[in-house]
Parts: sequence; structure tokens; C-alpha cells
Amino acid sequence: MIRRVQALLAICLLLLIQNSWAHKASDSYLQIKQDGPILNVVWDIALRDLDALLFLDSNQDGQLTWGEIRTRSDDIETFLQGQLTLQLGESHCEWLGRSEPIGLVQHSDGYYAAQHWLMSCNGAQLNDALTIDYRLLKGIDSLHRGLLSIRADSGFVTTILRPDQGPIVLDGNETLWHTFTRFLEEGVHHLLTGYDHVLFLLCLLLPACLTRKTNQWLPSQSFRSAFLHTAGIVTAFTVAHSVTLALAALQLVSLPSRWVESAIAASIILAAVHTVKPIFISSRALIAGVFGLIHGFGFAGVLQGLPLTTGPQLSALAGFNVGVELGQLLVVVLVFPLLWWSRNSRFYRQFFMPFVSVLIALVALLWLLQRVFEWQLIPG
Amino acid sequence: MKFKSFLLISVLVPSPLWASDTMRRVITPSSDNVVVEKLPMGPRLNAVVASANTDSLSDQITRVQVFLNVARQQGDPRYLGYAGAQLPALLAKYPADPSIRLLHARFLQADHQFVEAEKVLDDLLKKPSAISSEAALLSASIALVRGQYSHAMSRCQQLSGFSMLPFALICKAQTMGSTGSAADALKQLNKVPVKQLGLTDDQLTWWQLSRADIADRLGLDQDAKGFYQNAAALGSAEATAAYADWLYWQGDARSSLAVLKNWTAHDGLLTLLTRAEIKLGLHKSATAHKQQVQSRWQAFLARKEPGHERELAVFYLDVMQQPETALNFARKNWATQRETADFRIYLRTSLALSASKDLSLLAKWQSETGFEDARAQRWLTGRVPPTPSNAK
Repeated sequence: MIRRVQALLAICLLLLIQNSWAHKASDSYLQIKQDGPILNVVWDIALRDLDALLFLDSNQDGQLTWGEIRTRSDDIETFLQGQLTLQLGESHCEWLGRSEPIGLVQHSDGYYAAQHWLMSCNGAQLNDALTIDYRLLKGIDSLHRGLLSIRADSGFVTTILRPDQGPIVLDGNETLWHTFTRFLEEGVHHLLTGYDHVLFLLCLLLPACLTRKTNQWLPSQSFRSAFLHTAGIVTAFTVAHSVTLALAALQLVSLPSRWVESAIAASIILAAVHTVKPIFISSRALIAGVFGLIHGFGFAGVLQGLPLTTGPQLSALAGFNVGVELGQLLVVVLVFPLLWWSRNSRFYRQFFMPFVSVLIALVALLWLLQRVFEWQLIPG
Repeated sequence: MKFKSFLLISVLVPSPLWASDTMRRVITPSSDNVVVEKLPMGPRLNAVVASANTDSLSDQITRVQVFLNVARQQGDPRYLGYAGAQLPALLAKYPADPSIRLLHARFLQADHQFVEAEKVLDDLLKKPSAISSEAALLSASIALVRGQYSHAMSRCQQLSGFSMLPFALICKAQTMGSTGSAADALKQLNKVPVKQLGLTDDQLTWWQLSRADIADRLGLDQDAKGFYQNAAALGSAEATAAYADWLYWQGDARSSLAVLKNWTAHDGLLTLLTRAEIKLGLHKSATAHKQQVQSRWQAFLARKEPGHERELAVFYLDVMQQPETALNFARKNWATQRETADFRIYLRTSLALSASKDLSLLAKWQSETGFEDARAQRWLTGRVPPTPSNAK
């Protein structure tokens, strides 16, 4: 009875222990650099996994010394060669030898044994796809994964290898392109649904087909001049937010979100006020550039925390940036003809444009207040 | 001139990225005696694998149970993977054996595959067997975690008979505790004759944490403190995390730090430790631990697998101060888990961004379920972003 009771209570235990505050699961890190038919293979395997497979702890004291690893380096290498099969096109890749002696590499959870191999895939053609059969810890640890990155002239690929999945074929260009297009869509969506960015841009564009003379807005007579003016604003905004987007997305610079979001709201107010009455500087392109730096930090939230390695990260960043630009371009394409068409209207210049600007400033003021004081007044 | 400056910065930005591969540094220790790895205290896998083919069925089942238990006690997913690797062969050889199917459900549940686990249990409970009560209880626990309270209660009611009485009581009290009767649930849990049942340390930990969670949500700080302290004294990672988190939100980051100082090997606890150091202004150690825990979570995210969304939300909100990313994780987490900690992190990230839809969703859920949480209610009503100083 007591055993049965305890078994049931053991099940009850699970009620509160859904989230193991975990150690890291077992991973190995595999990098393959392709140089024609030669593969440079770098493979980092956790010492704990190697001990589980090869009894490295010879004195069974519960810890591994460098000597216990170094003296078994040939066993380790022979064993690992049996866990990985590579094929380039139709050509099986043969192990040529070590390019470096065994060493240790530190990863986030401790030291890993570092293997450096050269492999030859004779007869392989340029752009042949790589087939990889990864079997480390197959049938031993179902949660083990191999984190693979491949670099070749044709591109950069990362993927996750499961020991029980059998051979898989990898094609580099497609994966990077896929990442790019996925984030391009994200960029367009983010720009068009991020109303604050659109309103800021709109404030700068409202007088794009007007010129300021004797303290009043007058219609621009030159299409070329209006077009170049608009292009200047958009380019300055683009360049500026691209720089800060890259800095923030790559986590080289990190600013508190509350400050950034508040500053974006403030930038809209200033841009709107500037549209009604340019009070501090005459160049709207300069305003777009300066405040674009702040908006870039706002865009970056989407790209932060993504599980991407270098190649795909750059691909994602480039795709997202292009997407944002396409979104901007869409706004400009929709708005510019209307602005050109309305420029001669006194109603537009003296009533509509100031009214819309004040309205935008009021909305931005509410955003500013709710972002600074963390109230909830309006959506956004 | 300005454009030239922009272009210069643009060219410089990607440089550290390409340098990242070269940052992988291979070292060779200076002496053979240098200790480079401390092995875990659990069973040695190599000895187990060596005997796998000759073991009897009961030995094989026991082995999987041992792996599952060690995975839970030590919070070590490698042991979960060892258990998972043993199961396919057992399931293929004995597809109808209820004990093996229950083990499979336990593995799936521990691996956060709740829907798949529930499918196995549903199937298992269609025919009465010797393990029906255990299956019903496991099913109830999964339903509770997922916030499916009526399903949880119906599973609790499947525990009939005199011998099942204490477990039916615990099961129902757990469900009541999340559906508007927290005070009654606490009374019921206090009545469970734990001494007579002869609980192990693990079971006592669960017991104390269950009571602590409800007492905390009812605002019974003294009771909660006692329960959390008792649980943490038993030494498990989950109890330590719960106690440290409670101390932090009581405004006592220093005690929280003291509780966590020996737990740097655990990603979640290291996250809480770093948060406490940031709060206390310990810049040097906070910076070092922030880098360490960031690389750990990046390593986890590189696997592109679900899980740990709650801890990731806490990390991005409290350590990285990136509420947008934190909210994304909190939303994903809420889609699968609805315990107190899940509710609070989703609420905190939503408040940090004034995310109206998310706040409305939480308020609606709370009013529909009757889930009581005095602390969260203060945050929700006041629409005040929570900080440890206003947490009490």
C-alpha cells in the first residue's frame, strides 16, 4: 500500500515541476568549411558526452583531467569518425587526417573536446549538395542535437542535426534566401503596422511638394525638386535607422525599450510641430536622419532574441531592412501623388496640413505620456 | 559629410560578426592534472548502456524510471534524453504494456509535449488497468498546468475508492486552488496527513510548494514564507527558484541573491541570480553573469526547439530589458502553460508594453476561471508596471 501511495505521490510531484530549471541539453557544434572537394571539419563535443560513451574517467573520481582526455585522443577520434558520414554530390568523403591536435574549447556550459579534421571528396563538382549522416549519441540520448554550420563559396547554411533522422541533404543558397525573404515580409509588415513610424514619415512628407517662403508654405513649381526632396527625406531616414537597427539587432548597442519608445513618440511631436511651423532647422532630411537613428532602435525588437548564427543573422537583418524600405516606399508611392496633386490647394496648405499635423502631434503626445508614465490611454 | 559618417559606420558594423568565428579559441591545458570537467552525480550512462541488452523488462522499466527521476531532481535534460532513447525499443517490443505507455506519457510530459502526453493517457484510460489511477493523476497534472481545470477535475474524480482518498483530495484541492477557492484549497492541503503517508524529500518539496503557491496568491506572506523556506531547505532546484523569486518580489533582492549563489549551473536560476545582482547594483558580477546566462540561452535557442519560454521571458524582461522579445516568449508560454508564474510573467511583460489586447485577455481569463492572485490583481487593477519595491 505504502509503495503504491508513494508511486502516486511521485506522479503528484509532477504538478509543480513542469519547468526544469535546467542544465543545458546535450549539443555538439559541427562546422564544415568547403574548399572545392576538401572539407575542413571542426567538431566540438561535450566532455561529459564523450565520457558517457567512452569511459574517459579512468580513475572514476567523478571528474575528468586533461590527462584522461589527452591519452585517449586516438580512441576519441576513431570513435567520432564512425559517428559522421559526409558525401558531396555522389562522392563519399574520406578522412585525410587531423589539421590540428585535440584541444579544448569553452562553450556556455563548460569545456568541449575540439576535433579538427580534413576530409577529401574526390570527384565532387562545384555546387554539389552535401549529404550528412549524423549519428552521435543515436539510441542513447534522444534529446541530443548537432548544431551544424557549413560555409562554402555558394553560401552559408546552419541546421540542426538529430542523430536518429538518417542522412539529410543540404543546399546552402536556398536556406539563406529563405531567411532573407522571410524577414523581408516581417520588415514590410512591421513598418506598415508600426503606426508611429508611418506617422513620423507622414509628418515629414506632408510639405514635401511645398516650399517655405516668407513664413508661409507655397506650392513647389518643379516636380523634379519635389521628388528629390522626398527622396532625400526617405534616404536620410533609411540610412539612419539602418545603422541603429543593425547595432541594436546584433546586440552591439542596447537601449531600454521605454526610452526608445518614448523618444519615438517625442520625435513625432517635433516632426508634426515642424510641419506646422519650422522653428529650429530648415532641413527635413536632417530631421529624418537624426530621428531615424531613434526609430532604428524601435525596429530592432523584432530581430532580437532570434536563434540565428552569423550568416542567417546577416541575411535576416538585410531582409528585414529591405522589407522596411519597401514598406516605406509603398507609403511614399501612395502619398506622393496626392501631395503633388494637392500642393496648389490653399485648403490643403492652410487648413488640412496643419490640422493633420496637430492631430498626429496629439496622438503622439498621448503615446509619449503613456510610454513615459506607463499609462494605458490609446492603443500603440 | 553626415552621409559619409553614416556610410563609415555602416561598413564598420558588420565587422564583429565576421570575427565571431575566430573568437572560438582552442586551448591546451598546461598540465595533465588540470581538471576540465566535473561529472554529474547521477547514474553512469555507460554502465547502463553496456547492460541494456541483457536486462529483464522490469529492469528496463526501472532504468527509464531512474532516468526520469534524476532528470527531474537535478533539472538535467541529458537524463531525460537517456530515458527517451530507451523508450522506442520498449514500445516496439511491448506496445500494449500499460506501464511502458505510462512511462512514455511521463517522458512526453517532462519534455513539455503536453498534447502528445495527453493523447497517450487518454488512450490508456479507455481500458481500466493497474496503472489507471496513476495515469488519471498524471493527466490531471497536465490539465492543471495547461489551465484546463474542468478536465483536471474530471480526472481527479476518476480517483475513486478508499485507498485513493488522499490523492483525490490533493488532486481536487490543486484544481480548486486555481478556480476561485484558493482559501478552501489551502485548508484541504493542510489537512493531508503527510507524516502518515511517509513522504520523501521530493514529495515534501512538492507539498510545501503547492501550499506556498496558494498562500502567496492569497497574500498570506508569513505562511508563504514558511512554506517556501521549508521547501527550499530540502535542496531542490525548483524550490530554490520559487523561494528566490518570492524573496525578490518581497523587495528582498539580497536574500534572493544569497539563496541563489550556489546555483550558477542552472540557466533559470542563473537568470534570477543575475536579476538580483542588477537590482542590487553589483555591476561587476551582474555584467559577468549576464554574459554567461545570455550565452546559455543563445545555446538553447540555437536548437530551435520549444520549451523554457517562461524563463526566457524573465531573462529578456528583467535581465536584457527587452520587453518586446519578453512578451513574445510570454505569449508562446501562455499558449501551453498557465501556472502562477506563467500568469505573472505574461502580465508583467504586457504591463511593460501597455499591451492592451494581452491585458484584456488575461483579465478575461482570470474572471472566467476565478484564478486568485492578490499581487497580480494589484498590478492589473492599477495598470502599474511591477517592480520589487511596489510588489508587496
